[in-house]
Amino acid sequence: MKNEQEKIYNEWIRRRQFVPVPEGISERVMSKIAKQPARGRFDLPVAYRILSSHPVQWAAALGALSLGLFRLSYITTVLLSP
Amino acid sequence: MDVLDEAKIIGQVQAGRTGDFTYIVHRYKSGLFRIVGNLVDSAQVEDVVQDTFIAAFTHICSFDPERGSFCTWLYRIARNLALNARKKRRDQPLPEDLVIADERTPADDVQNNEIFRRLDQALEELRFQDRVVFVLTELEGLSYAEVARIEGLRIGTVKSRLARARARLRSLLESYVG
Repeated sequence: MKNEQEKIYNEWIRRRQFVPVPEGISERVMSKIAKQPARGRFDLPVAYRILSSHPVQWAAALGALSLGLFRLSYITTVLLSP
Repeated sequence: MDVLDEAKIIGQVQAGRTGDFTYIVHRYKSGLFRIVGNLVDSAQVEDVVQDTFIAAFTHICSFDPERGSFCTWLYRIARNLALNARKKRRDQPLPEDLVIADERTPADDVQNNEIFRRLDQALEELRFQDRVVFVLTELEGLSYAEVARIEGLRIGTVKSRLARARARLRSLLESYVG
């Protein structure tokens, strides 16, 4: 009986897996997509991803470091000079 | 289309080459119909699949390959839209056309058809969250890890939901086939 149950269950699964794809669905989807407003590469999530990427983080860190060094040298050479 | 090709195509669509999205549609339409067709009633399936592709296209710039595969991202959109579609139809009676027509079944196999109809009904009566897990694993053949990513769950929770769904269907089967 277990085998019979297994057979029926598997047959039912196979039937449920069979969902027909309507003719021309790709064309209908693409024609709707063509009407969507153009998507640029630089929307907010992409911009965030670029800004949080490693090269940009390194560049920002180097920039901050050089700005700090410049400020320090300015303080020591100009402001603290007699 | 392998993973590399797919990543390239997604990059091109993100860069504004709309026409390349057609490869995505061709690749995923069967899977989406199989998933959505088992989550909503047949009158809603095509609309939900179309809406899934359109939502994927309009938000494609937010897809980040480092956070998961395109497949799980797309199926998550489909799952959410299917849930919305079901909520809209909640007040309406259980559709008769939920039983998927299968021309391959012999006409005289009346008893099995009755069992299939009962199983269809049992699937319909499962909680949506259990049904999604069942459909994604049993019908679509995704791994527990992929389903966990789509559902935002731990693998253990996916397994327990699947076990619950299977137990419900098996007990129904046992009551029919001693």
